[in-house]
Amino acid sequence: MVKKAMIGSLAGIICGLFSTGGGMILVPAMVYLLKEDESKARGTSIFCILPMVITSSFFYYKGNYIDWKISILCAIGGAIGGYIGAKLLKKLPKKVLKIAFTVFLFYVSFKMITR
Amino acid sequence: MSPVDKNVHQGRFKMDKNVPKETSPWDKEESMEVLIGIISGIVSGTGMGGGTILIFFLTFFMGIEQHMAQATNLIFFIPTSIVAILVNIKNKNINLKLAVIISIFGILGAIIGAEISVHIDVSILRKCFGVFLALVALNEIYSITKEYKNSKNYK
Repeated sequence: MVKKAMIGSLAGIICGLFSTGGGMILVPAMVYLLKEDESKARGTSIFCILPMVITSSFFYYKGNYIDWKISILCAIGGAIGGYIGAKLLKKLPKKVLKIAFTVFLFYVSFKMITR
Repeated sequence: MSPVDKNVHQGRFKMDKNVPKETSPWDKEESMEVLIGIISGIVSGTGMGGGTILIFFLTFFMGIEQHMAQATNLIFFIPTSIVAILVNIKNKNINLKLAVIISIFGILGAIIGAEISVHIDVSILRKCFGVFLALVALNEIYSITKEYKNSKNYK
């Protein structure tokens, strides 16, 4: 229970701070610490992140940070892309994707820190 | 990096170009936003951090401020995730008891995190985000090497 509470709180803080990354905490935490299998961990993590995102949205809304035009346009694109991505998922080489994503993360991280 | 480069990176010149606003109801900037959404959606659909890509594109190519890009990502996440959740419920791919406990503490955490984020300076926020992404990348390397070892053992 303490473990679950800590994992949840940490994911929530990250989600509130950066708006993304809750899944990057939850999935490995559920797999390594709670011994959940990976696909169930993914499913459960999306379910958990939604209330965190809605909570965070409220604070960003109060802080006047939401640009509805950009958000809705991106969300429309996201719905289309999400569908394509889910279809592609079975066909793409998972390992190559993972490595490419890791390289990308290092690049963005470098850019964020140095600018 | 020269100051000019810096401006290009922040998208300021790109925005200036649009100053005599195009009269078409569907201008270039809007198509870019939808395109960024599509790309991030594809990445989200494959189960990797689509949010990181969305925030990166919005801040680097559109010159949108970090907080705003993050807020866009929050709204972006809601419709996509609802669909994903429904699919997962149908496939019985959710541990509901665990989900409820984690969600409750997650909401408390999100209140703390969002409260900090909204009041923090942009440059500090970006640096924290950068450090966080580096940690995630290190964990990815760990998991990739682990998978590689496992697949070797089971051969």
